[in-house]
Amino acid sequence: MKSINLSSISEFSENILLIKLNQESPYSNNSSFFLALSALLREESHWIEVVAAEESIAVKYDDIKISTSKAKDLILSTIKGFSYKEESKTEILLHVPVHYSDEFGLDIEKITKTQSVTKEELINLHSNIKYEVKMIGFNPGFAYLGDLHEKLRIPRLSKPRINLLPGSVGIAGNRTGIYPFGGPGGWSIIGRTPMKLFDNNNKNPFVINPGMRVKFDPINKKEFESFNY
Amino acid sequence: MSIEIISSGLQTTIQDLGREGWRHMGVPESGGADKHSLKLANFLLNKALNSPALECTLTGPSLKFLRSYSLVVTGADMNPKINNKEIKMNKVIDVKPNDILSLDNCSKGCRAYIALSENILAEDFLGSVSTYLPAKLGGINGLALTKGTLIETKSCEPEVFSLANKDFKLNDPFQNEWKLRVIEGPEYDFVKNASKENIFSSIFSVSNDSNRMGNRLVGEGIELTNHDQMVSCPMSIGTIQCPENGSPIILGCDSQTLGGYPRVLQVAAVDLHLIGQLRPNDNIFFERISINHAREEFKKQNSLFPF
Repeated sequence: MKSINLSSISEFSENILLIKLNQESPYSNNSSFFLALSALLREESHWIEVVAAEESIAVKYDDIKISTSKAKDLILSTIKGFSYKEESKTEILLHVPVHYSDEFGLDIEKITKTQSVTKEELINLHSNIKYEVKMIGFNPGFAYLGDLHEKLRIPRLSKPRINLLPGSVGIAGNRTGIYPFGGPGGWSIIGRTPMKLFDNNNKNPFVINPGMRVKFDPINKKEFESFNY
Repeated sequence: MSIEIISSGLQTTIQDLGREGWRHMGVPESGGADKHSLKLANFLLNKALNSPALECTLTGPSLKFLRSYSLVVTGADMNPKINNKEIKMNKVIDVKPNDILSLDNCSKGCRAYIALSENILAEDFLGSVSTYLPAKLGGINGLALTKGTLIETKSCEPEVFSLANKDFKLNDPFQNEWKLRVIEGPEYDFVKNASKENIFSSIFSVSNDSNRMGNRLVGEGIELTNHDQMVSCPMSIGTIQCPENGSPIILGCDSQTLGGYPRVLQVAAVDLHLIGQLRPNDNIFFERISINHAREEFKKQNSLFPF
């Protein structure tokens, strides 16, 4: 096992600590490491929120119950006992049907021009990869999936859209993702899934979770309309 | 059915103290933008502090009661009236069936809270009924209340507050110029030295493009040093982000959980509730305090108020 090489636990606010690793650490920009460590921390009862980003974790605690130095000690001892093994990850593969069409794929035409790909190539390049969940956040249930094929990497829109349809599938940089509830969004939209990514009847209502892989399966309009989930 | 919305006001939503423990799935806290005024309303009615209330924005609603209630209005003064007769803010009033409560505009502060002696019934999402408009969650169908909406209520057991008779300062006097105490954020050093002085000596104004997700500020631009493109980082309520254009954004209670702009400042916990009272064109200046001082001030505030 490699050494974790913790850089610092710093104070983000009165009751939030930030965990980062040294640049030299083999895991400093490994999002799976941060997701795994954050899941472990979340099992401990003293934290109010444990939020993983791609290269850091924020831990919120009740500073009336736990002092800052005690909180730091607790995190350090968890990290000490944490053994991260990339190889042993068990992954669930989630198939997400997507209708790639001009009707829902508001930016398909633009992308085929700027990236010099045909629509078919775009669909193949996007749907042939088993994406890893890199990070979850921005808005409820939004999973950052990666890595996107190099040919499809484009910057975010200069002006975000106000009201996307729920299930819209977007791309930006080396990431792709689905807007579970629609709403505002700054990614280029290439299609839409009829799949419900959220079920309020479950204890964890979100369908896409850390540790999963996601594969997009192209479907036609008829399949989109008759999809029942 | 217990209450009918006669007119909606600019944006009236059902809010409690919000949802905790789901930021890792991208779910912000939400809840009252000024949690202090929301708690005060529930406190005055001897209700659990987390009880849902109506949050009114800039222009308040008119409500018709179909049952008898006690109610209280806190937060920004929108000149509340019952059957066209003025009532006092922060004071418990009894209403009977067919009485109409109407709120007007406010000139200081941004949000008022209407709390009732009974519990407002709304949709629970992850342990809170707070309305989160961007994803249409909580509240009634996840939306702001509209004319004709009927709200149901249910009687509830009163809470007993041991300090109920304590004499305490009711609220910060609302104003159009606010001092926000801040601590340095994780990327404070991304700010150019000359700009660091400016931040604390200049006045920013709140842009029209502000809502529960964030308050955009206009003022002397904050200049950043050249830095590598940031990867997305965890954010918090009260984080002051600074995009490349130099115009800072104060993140509000509905703000995104992750973001890619430098976190230059963080509003101290003691002043977090004030974010919900910033209105377009208000002036803001920042006072930098140390994190330890910020903790002391927060403790002091907690000891002043019985909630």
